[in-house]
Amino acid sequence: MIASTAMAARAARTHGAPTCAVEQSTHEVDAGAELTVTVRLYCRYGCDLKGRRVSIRADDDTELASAEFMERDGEAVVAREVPLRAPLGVGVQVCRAVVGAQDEPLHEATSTEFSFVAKAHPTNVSVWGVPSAIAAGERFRFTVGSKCPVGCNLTDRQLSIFDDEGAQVCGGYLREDTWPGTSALYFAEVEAEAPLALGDHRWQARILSFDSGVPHAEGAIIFTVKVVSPPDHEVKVEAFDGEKQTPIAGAHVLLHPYRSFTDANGVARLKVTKGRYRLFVSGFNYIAYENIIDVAADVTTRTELMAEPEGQEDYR
Amino acid sequence: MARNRDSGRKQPKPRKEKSVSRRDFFKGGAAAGGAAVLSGGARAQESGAQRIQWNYEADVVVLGSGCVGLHAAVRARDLGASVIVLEQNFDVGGKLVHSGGWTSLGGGDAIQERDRTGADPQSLGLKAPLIKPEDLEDDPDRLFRDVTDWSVVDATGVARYRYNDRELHRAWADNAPKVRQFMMDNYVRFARIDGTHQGGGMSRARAARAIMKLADKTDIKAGTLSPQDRGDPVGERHSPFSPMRQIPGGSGDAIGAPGWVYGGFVIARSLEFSAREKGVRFMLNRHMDELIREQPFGGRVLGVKASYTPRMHPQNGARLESFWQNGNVDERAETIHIRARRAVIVATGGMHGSIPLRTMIDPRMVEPSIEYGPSALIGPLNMDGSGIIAGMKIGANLAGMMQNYQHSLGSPTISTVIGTRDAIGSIFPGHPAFLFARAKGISIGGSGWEHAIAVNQVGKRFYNERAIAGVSSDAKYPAGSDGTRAPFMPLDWRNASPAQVKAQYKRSAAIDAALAMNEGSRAPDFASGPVWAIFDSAAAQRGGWQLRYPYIADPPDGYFHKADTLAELAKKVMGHPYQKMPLKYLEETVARYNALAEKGMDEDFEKPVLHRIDTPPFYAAAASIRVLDSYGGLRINGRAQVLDTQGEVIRGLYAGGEASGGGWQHGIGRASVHGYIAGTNAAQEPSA
Repeated sequence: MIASTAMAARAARTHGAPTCAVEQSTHEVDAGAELTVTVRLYCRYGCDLKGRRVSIRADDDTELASAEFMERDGEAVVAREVPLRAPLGVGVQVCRAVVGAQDEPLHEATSTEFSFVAKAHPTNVSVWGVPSAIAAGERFRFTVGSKCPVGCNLTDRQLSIFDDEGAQVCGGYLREDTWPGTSALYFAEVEAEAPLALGDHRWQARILSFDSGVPHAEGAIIFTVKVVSPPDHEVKVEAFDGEKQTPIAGAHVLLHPYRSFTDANGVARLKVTKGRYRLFVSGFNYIAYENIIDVAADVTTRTELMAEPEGQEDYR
Repeated sequence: MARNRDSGRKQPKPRKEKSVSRRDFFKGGAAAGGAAVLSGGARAQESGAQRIQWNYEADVVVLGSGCVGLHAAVRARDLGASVIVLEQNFDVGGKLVHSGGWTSLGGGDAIQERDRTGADPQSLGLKAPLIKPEDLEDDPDRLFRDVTDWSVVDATGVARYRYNDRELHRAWADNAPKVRQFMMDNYVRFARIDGTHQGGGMSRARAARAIMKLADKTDIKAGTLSPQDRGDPVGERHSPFSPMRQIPGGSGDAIGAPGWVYGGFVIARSLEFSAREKGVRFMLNRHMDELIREQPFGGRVLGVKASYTPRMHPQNGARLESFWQNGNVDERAETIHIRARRAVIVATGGMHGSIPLRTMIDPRMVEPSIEYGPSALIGPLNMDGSGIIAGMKIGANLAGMMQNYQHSLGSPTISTVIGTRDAIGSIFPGHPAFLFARAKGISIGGSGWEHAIAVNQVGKRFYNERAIAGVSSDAKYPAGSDGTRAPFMPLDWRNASPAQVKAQYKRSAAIDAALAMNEGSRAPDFASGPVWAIFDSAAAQRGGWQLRYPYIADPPDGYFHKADTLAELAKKVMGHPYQKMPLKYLEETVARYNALAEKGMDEDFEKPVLHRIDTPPFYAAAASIRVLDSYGGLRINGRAQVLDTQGEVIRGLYAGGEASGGGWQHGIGRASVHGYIAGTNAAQEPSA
């Protein structure tokens, strides 16, 4: 009888387990990378649970993080953006947000499960510096770069270049240094031989998956190798300021697919196959020049570009 | 009171009186001097309608110290009125101080006459006139006819002069020659006339640049400017004297004034100097919140209610101070009332800072990221429409609200200065406004868009980038420019014939595409979001673009981003205050663009030349959608008096410039004459 009374008294003071909700910043994260969770705790009797702590635990009960409920959000208390680091392994990670029991009034312990997927690091691959037109069978150079978004060091990772048929045409290894101006873009200069068949070839640059302590997924990019006939003639293009009659250095000259830039004397030389072209010459702060030319022999063309109207910065 | 600076320049000295502060008034009971400008203290308004305790009073209260305000203040003071100018910013000048100083007046004004005869009476060292004499022969009747010529149609198909308010423009034409002389009498000097500005007419040359000569020291009276005050665009410095880009090296040559530089700062500082010298008082950091009328919708305007709006240095918290300070009234009370014995002149500028107002005239302006005016220079209350709103609250009518739409400076455009929150100001360090702009921006010009793509808030292209800039629509002298008919015959129907309009029509819809809804547009306003210029390091190298401080912000401010990959770049743009989502389609867009570049043909938007975007690092620079001018506002008559909705004059209330409506004319020509007319008439109101 005495025990029963004590139990009743105790039950009257028991608020049960508070409601605990977990909100994740993401459900997928790169292995070893960070995600955050925001945990809300709510007692249905309106108790102020500020100051309580939440422990974030892995499925083997190792504590990954802990935080205090610092602020109120309506009737709940919140621990915002608690940082967690994903394990280096790949797969589903089950975790729990655990809040311990409290005696007076009695709040029972609560444990809320949540999960996320740890993924292999993606490997971004890019290609640049491929000439706009390459004569059949000609050797050419270009650059391949690769970046792990987490910033992993990719030195010595092997890259391979495959042609449209899937045959490997060349390859290389990423260098120790990173591409100028980038934080972690590793790169390699690659040399290849253009196919003999004319036209656009769709090649692929690929970096195979690897595990350097952290799993990395395969990365690849398709790029175009435009193969043309060997050139027949040279087109010499001179670019001049139409008003000052001075040469324009750095003007862009386009006889698609051939491109070049003028030198300090305002001259660009393009070796092209015979035919009809749209000549387009453009320069910074100039109105572009456009004309149709027929190339049946070596030719020199003088173009005069007019300056753009005064810049918009100088308001009148 | 005055703060001496080490450049040796002089503060303007008031001619007749010492500065009078509110505290002096309390001690002495009244301001001293025969031309006391203002008095302070508690004075109850007798009418009882307001029961307002006036803190200050003056004959004429001018709201704003831009082009209208300065001209009005000096003119009213010249006519014997005591004048106080309220300015919400920390310094004088408004937008005028940042303009190019190209002043289009005419009607046979003194500079037209000077150049017509080839004279140089001020011994400025001018070269021969740039305009043939017959194109400088002018008179007010011809000017009035020109600025109301129904037949002129510009390159966008808009009749630029057809619907200008006739009463306003008659008064404008009659006063234009007087204003030229007035400016010259207040230390402004002009280069040779070299054309006509927007809205200034087709038949005669009427615009000249306001100039100062480079010298060892700044002397407003002598028209000289020290290297320190000029700033140094080559050395990447502007000065507190002028926030405007001053083209280095011989900029005066092209306008017949070798050795001189030009800009709106010349007019702003010269008139400010003269105003202070004549005893005009400036209450800076003070924003007009309400116009006070005898009855809510009746009677005379009595004065204004104004609040304290200081701007603080973002790093050290100190209040920013004006370049010159003598004549300032340093009042720091949160709210005060200022009585106008004769009149209040609304010179508060335009409305583009107010989305509710600006969407009255152009529904595209709902986009919140639109930049307007030189925002860092003028501050968060820039173009807030407060003068227009305050006028509406006491019964004023509006006019010319349609004249903003399709105006080349009143309508939004996409900037070619990228990577800054203040592409209009484009200010270097050295001027306090840079503290707020944080980056000058990278000027790529229209041609720079060849090497970049423009994408919307989801990362999709929306228009041929080469058509973003370079389309002007200025129907003005000389005939033939912008495709207008030449030879030009005024009032000739053939100027507006379908054949002529077809021949000259040239308009880019890039801005319409940019402001269209896209996949990121969300309820309730379905805003289009920011525009981004996306380019690679190869483009930056080709263009010699300076991707460094002070052209971009350091630390970053969200308007310029760099990344190793496009995928990273797409996420980084979220740092922009108006960018609500990553550039979801950016990688796909660039892949498509590169494929088109290889093809040699832009099948999507017909851009004439495409360069692959493939060389890391990659960049995203905000290409602001911005608007410079505001057209439409308070309805005024030819005396610059504000009218109510019944067409009756609201006694004691004047307005001009961008706070008023009724015309399509741009710039200093419009604002200076409005200010002059308002100042003239306000000073002659009976004293209440």
